[in-house]
Amino acid sequence: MSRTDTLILLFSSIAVASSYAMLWGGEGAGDRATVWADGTEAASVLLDTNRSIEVEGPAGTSVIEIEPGRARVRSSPGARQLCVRQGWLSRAGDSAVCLPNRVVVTIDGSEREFDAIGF
Amino acid sequence: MRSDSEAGRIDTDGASGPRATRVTASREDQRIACFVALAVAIHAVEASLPSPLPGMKPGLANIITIAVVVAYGLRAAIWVSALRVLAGSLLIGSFLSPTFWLSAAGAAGALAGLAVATRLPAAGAMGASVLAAQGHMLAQFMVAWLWFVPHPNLPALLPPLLTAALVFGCANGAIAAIMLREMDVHSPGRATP
Repeated sequence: MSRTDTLILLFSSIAVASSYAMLWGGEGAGDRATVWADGTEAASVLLDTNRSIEVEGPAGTSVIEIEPGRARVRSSPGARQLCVRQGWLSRAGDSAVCLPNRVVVTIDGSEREFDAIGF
Repeated sequence: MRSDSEAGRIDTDGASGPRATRVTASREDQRIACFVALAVAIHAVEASLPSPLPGMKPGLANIITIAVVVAYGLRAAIWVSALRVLAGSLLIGSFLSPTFWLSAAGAAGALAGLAVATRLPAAGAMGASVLAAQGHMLAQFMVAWLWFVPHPNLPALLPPLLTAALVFGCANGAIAAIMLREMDVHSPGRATP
């Protein structure tokens, strides 16, 4: 291995290490939660105070809990409770989907674009 | 750089009888074909291996590209890489599918890394391999992110993927160095055909 190789290895290691700091750091925190019911926007609230939102869906009522900086689905009808077990959502782009009740909670940040595109 | 006299020739024999086109493969063509065959075989075998995480693969076919760039220069490596992606995708049936575009983007990124490596003084197989692996991962990730899965949180996957690229890049570089030793190539660009 030449000295150039050693330097390349060193620089790459530093670059990889700093990518953890840059991409896993505090950036990308969400500041707004949007609740969708059956494809239409039911509520869009800032993540600033404690409150809860109740959304009616075809299977019953889903309760969304908002806290400063985070949100979660506290309870929702549905056999598997996937959206409840998703836990707290805090980063822009995070989402919880309660499919049986057709309720979706997404977290938006300032630099948000899409959550997914299917084609 | 090779002289023009070594390049392949196309003779059109139109003087007598039916027109016949004779394509002569130069020594360089044959050499590139040999390396492409090796790389395609590795590419196909690796495509059948399971991967623990989407996008995480050792990229063993890149070993060939690394050895070629150190021994014969960037131009030969571009040929080997491009033909490997094309022939490899035809072989495993992924031509023009998302897999193919990811593969092509990765190869282009790896070549960009190699282009940087060839401009650095005395970069060996290890340095070339690490740069190629990082370039491969970055280009592939950008295509996957911007085109196939434009999710804002996808870059969170990048650090572990780059770590894997670094580890596999080192491993491939070491293997390429052994291969070059067996090929009896001691210094960049000084290989005997």
